[in-house]
Amino acid sequence: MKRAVGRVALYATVLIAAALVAMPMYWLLVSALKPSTEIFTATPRWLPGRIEWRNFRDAWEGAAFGRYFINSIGVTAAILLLQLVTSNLAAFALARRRFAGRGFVLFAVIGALIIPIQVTFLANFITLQHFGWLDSYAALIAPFATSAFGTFLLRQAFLAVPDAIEDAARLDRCTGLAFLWHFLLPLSRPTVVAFVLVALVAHWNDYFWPLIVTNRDEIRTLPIGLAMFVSQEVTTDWNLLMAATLFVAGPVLVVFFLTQRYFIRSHVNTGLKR
Amino acid sequence: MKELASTNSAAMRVRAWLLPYLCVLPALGALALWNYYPLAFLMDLSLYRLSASSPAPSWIGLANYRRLFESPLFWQVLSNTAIYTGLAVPLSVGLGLALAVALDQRLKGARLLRTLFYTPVVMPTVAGATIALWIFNTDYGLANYLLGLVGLPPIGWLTDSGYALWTLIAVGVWKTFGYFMLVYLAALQSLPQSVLEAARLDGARPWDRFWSITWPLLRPTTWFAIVIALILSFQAFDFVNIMTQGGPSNATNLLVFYVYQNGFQYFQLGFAAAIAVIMFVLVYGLSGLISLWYSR
Amino acid sequence: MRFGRMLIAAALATGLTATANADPVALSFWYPVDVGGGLTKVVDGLIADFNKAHPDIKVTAVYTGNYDVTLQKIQAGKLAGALPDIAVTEISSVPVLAALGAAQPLDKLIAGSGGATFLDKFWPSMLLNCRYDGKVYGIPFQRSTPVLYYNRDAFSEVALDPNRPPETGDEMVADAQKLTKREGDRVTRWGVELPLEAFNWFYYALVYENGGESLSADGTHVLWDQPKDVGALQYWYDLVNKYKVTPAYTPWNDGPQEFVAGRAAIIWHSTGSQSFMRQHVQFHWGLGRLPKNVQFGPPSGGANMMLYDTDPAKQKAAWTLMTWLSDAPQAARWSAATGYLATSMAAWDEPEMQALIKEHPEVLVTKEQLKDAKAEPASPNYAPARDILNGLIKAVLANKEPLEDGVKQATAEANGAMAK
Repeated sequence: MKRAVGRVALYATVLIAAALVAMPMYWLLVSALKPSTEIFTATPRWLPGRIEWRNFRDAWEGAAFGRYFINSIGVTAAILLLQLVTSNLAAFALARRRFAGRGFVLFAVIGALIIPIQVTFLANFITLQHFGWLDSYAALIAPFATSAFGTFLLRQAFLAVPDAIEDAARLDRCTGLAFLWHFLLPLSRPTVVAFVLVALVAHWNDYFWPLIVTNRDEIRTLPIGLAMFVSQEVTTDWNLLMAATLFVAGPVLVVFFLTQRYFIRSHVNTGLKR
Repeated sequence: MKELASTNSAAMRVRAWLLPYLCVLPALGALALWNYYPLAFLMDLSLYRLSASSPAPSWIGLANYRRLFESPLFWQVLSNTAIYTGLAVPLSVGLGLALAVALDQRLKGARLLRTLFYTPVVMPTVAGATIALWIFNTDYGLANYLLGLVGLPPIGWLTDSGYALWTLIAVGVWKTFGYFMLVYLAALQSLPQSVLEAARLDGARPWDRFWSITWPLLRPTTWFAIVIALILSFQAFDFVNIMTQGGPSNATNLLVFYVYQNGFQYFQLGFAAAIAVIMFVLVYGLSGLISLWYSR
Repeated sequence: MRFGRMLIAAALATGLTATANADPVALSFWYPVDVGGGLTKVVDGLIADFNKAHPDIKVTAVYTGNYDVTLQKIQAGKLAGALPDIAVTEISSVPVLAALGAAQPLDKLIAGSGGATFLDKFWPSMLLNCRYDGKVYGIPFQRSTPVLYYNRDAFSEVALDPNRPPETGDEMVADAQKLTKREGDRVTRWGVELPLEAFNWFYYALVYENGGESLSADGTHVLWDQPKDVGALQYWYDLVNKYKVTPAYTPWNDGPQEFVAGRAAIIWHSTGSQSFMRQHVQFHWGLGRLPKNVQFGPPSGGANMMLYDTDPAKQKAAWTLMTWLSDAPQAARWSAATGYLATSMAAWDEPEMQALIKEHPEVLVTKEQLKDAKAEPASPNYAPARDILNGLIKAVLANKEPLEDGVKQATAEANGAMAK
């Protein structure tokens, strides 16, 4: 009986959550398809009277989305690469090696996690100006060269790998960075994928920083194009804004959908039975 | 790696000793430049008066801090932030955990559901906020429409200072729970199957299995999730900025918005810097406390 | 003699080629977009034409988000030494950016372009928000005023003249009382709505209409507790609580939607919302001036251009751009494309504007208002006062705070905040 109640409660939570999440998403999708005359009605209209495919063309032409797309991909990829390298190296040292100052480094990593961008942006802007990097790809990438979050997350994952595996690997002459590459990373794949997805979203959607540090349209990223549809003084063209949102959010959702298998409980063992 | 494992040449020893330092150097260097230097910069700035009416920085020592502690608005902001964090953290982490457990199987449609739950995380904030503004619009938003369907009177979700903070918390949870679902899914994936198998074979019920085995095993993940949720809650800036601008009547004025408001809307940079330093100290202290509690 | 002429010719030739080969002066023009997509294309078009007409100057137009983010970028730029050459910012930022030392005074450049004659081409009401500390810092660029939109069909329905929007405050109350429709205790149509946004536009409108001022001339303290200001707020309070023809709070962006949906027979909103109305309204509607009490007093809105260069050569080039943009043909083009009001009086006679007027004669109402428009209150430290005023209005209209006490408290608070 208790088991049934538990199960029901769990599934009820899932369904309610799904409804609460799906409803705004549905509304977003539907708004993107409506002509603007149907957006402002007295009661919510659940289905578009007619489908306005034009919205997508108008949205696409409203800003240089083609170029922004390429920039977003390039900048995000560069950031992810840098972060994976620096964070994995640091996490490896923090989790699998004892060294003087390890506590201090961990302390520093956690501390950095906490500092939000509204706090750092001014000083970083000035630093970039000193380096002469303002209005360049370097300005978009360099401040994100490492991720405290990623370092932290990966440290947790690396800590969970039993010493027995490292000992066995050492017998096979696989130590240090080779151990990291051949053992730690594959064993922590779900965590690595989780980190990549989180970082991907954060940097793909970053609007404020690229807007502040870039001026040239040629190097700007997707969210800036999205912002061009928002109005303050008069009413926003919602249908275009929603259509443009789909351009920005779509790719990431596709990536998430495709990388799901790394999260499913598969039949990969943890290596203990080797 | 070509040498025999038994060789203990001095060179190898030095390399082994040096390795961890070299490994943390790039990350540490980047953090020092892009995270810690700005913090130091702000700590310094907080000791000056710098504003539109005094554009040349002038040293005033701790006067900004004194002004801050004497301002009733600061304490209101602090209280708002405490409520927001106190609710958003357990709700988003808890919801994420529940959904991760529920969806951690090869169910038909689980893949789709997981993607659905992750969409709020992926949504650019400007779109999320716009949708939220529509849903919670007092006159013709979806929420009040639904209330009307069951005969309830409309609520000023964002315009009534009694409701605005709760609405914001709901939006914050909605935006972030997918994150934690992800983290927990990854953690569940790497739990030792053997222990859980043994428990199942022993006839333990799922609910009990969860609480006595899975939950303790997830402790490090939960610690991690709480710290991250804490940090995220301090960054609820985007929604406040787009949806309420701290209102109505400062009901949704959170610390991170308060910094921005004073720094870039009121052009009081020295004062804003002091707020930012206090914010950092608070969050760091809180995270430290949580970590201590977890490591006992 | 011939040799001499050849020399001169040669010198001239080299001189000319030298000028033609000199690198064009590079300028950056930062602009926010506050009225939705499509504007970036218009800006790009304007700038491209400028560059073609002025081969010695190369301007790059940079989109910088909304008004808030643009200000942030400029602030960061000031601290880092990365300011633009010209930027378009909301009019109340003129004193702030001037006081910060970011924006540069334009008086010398104006003198070089004809001094007072140059300034005369602009609507005098627009110039009210261009000065600080006795110097000119801003040139009008995208300006607006609030205006009254009314539902002609609703007017006819209640036996009001559909061609006569209310002209005085009292008339508006009377009209609104007839126009308000109720079903039981639910209001299905409000007589009039005054949406509220962060800048408190309509409060200023009511104060001006009452013949008052809301900010002292030196910008150091607010006058909300003065009788005329209190009277203005009282009028708004009465609309909501005594005559019950107005809701206590209408969010800014909801105004046009309420009007379109027929839930408000009259609304006050920006002149910039005209194109939205034209696109979405399905009934007969009209434009009217904001009603007067003692006087007509629509406040100004929108943004000015300001200069940030200190180098004289760059200043000269930037000034060329600023004057070109405010020349009648360009001002007309910008206004016709965006719905902002053409900044020079001559611009209204340009073909684009004439065509617009022919197609939409109600536009002339907005032109009329420019004659009586007043300044938007601004001073270096005004921003916190603005937020306090916003809170005060909301609280008083919703009956959460008594008017007299609330005003006294808010005035004291605002004056304290501005003194910091």
